[in-house]
Amino acid sequence: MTQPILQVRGLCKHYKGIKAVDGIDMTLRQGDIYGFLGQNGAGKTTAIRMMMGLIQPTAGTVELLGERIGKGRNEVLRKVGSVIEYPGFYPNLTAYENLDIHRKMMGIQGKDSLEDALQTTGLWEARNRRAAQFSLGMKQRLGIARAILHAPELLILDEPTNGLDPMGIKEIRLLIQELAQKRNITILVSSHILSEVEQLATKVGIIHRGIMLEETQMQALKDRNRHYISLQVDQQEKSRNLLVNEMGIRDCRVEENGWLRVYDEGLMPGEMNRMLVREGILVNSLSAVKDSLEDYFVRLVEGGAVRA
Amino acid sequence: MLNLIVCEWLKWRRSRMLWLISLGALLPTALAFLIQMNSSEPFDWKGLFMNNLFIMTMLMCPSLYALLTGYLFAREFQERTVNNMLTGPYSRNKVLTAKFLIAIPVLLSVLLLAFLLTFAIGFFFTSKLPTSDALLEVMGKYGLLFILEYALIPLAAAVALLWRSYIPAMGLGVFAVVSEITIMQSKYIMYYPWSAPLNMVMNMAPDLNSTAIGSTSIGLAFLLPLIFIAIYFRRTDVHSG
Repeated sequence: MTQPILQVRGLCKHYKGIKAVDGIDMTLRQGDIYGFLGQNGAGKTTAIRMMMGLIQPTAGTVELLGERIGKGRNEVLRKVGSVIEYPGFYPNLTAYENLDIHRKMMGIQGKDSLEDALQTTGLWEARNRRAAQFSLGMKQRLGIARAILHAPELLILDEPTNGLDPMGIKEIRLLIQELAQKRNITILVSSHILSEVEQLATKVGIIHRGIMLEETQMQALKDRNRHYISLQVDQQEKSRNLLVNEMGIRDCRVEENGWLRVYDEGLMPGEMNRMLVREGILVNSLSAVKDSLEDYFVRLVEGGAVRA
Repeated sequence: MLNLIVCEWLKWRRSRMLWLISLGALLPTALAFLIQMNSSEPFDWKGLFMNNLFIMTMLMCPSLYALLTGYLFAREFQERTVNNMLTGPYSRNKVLTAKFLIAIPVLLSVLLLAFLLTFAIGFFFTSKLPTSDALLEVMGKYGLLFILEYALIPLAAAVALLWRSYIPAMGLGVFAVVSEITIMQSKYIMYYPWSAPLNMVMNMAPDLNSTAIGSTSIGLAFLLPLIFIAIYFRRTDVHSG
């Protein structure tokens, strides 16, 4: 097991009784693309701000590349690039000048890194345009250019596709994948859009109301999503009782319009159908389904899911 | 540290505030020249410079310095660059120090430009040169004015950082001018940090001109907000940007 690039332990931020972040643990290892998933207001940005030293935690620790983030100077931040919430730039300066300020701030010699970052993000042609003239999509890319300028080992992107159109979202996604593959950068990307995280991440952490509900490998999450049988019947309550009592099913959920959802392992849809028909129940529909990640996410945040 | 200072310098490139600096120097110069030209007295270099200094001390420096300082400190929040600025490998106090250091050339340029424009306009219309004694004396006064007004910028910086906007700092500048005009006519002229420079530079009320009192009031106005900023900015959480 490689040394964690980012390790968060028991991180809390409380504001006058409100628990914005409540004891979260996270571990990012070399090569991870970590999807930090949660609804708006779940505590993602507050947690990220604590990781970057912008907000002081009420409790808990953040270790970046083995160094603990504290109040004072954090030398390790030279190895971290970030775009937090909204990529801000000096509007009176060009894209190139904005990046040059960052280059100087990070103490990088030579200007090759500027061209490299602008080429990678597809902004080289627009380098002499003032940041004030950039669209939101271009600003997001310029933010990423600034974040990778100093060749970081960890890249933290907070909602990088916020406010972008579908093409812009795709461009940013491809860029993130390219950065992870070609530059071997470990990436933490936060989002409230499940499909976005699903397409990008190799590991996922789900936060809800400041609590980390689950942290797992994306593949494990996909594998774990449960199979179930969905059926529509004319006598919903009777069918449920039969399934529970006659077939010994433990997890049978009643839904609207005569639908039932049966979650037990090793189910046999044919036998289920035969038993219900034998008891005089009209089965309008019966199919084996696999939970989508979206279903799983909804169940998880509503507190009805199996914890990792 | 040098890198941070260079970064602060570069941020002023093509800034609209540079126009304000020019205007802030040009208007008092033009006004001082008009006063001098409309005077029944013969042209006097020292008089021209003193008129300029008076307008700078009473009106322009308190308001413009507060605005420029507010812009310097609050722009990072308003332009949402604060996240990037504070996630570099520097302590927050170093970032603040760089801003206070870059304020020196920025604010000095207002007075330097005012001095040069006054000199140029006087020479252009009279084709005379001031005596070296007069020139040295007024240069000393411009220098003293800069030091006294610079000492008041931590107040504007504190206001800007607290509200994360340069509008309150601008309001502070307006308040400073209005209050100073009232207090300069009272016996408390040396106790009030914005009116004390008027007496220390212009010697408006010689009987009340106590350097010790003036220096103390301005010194406190410098130190207290500076200590506040150093503590506050180090501890504060950065949510915006």
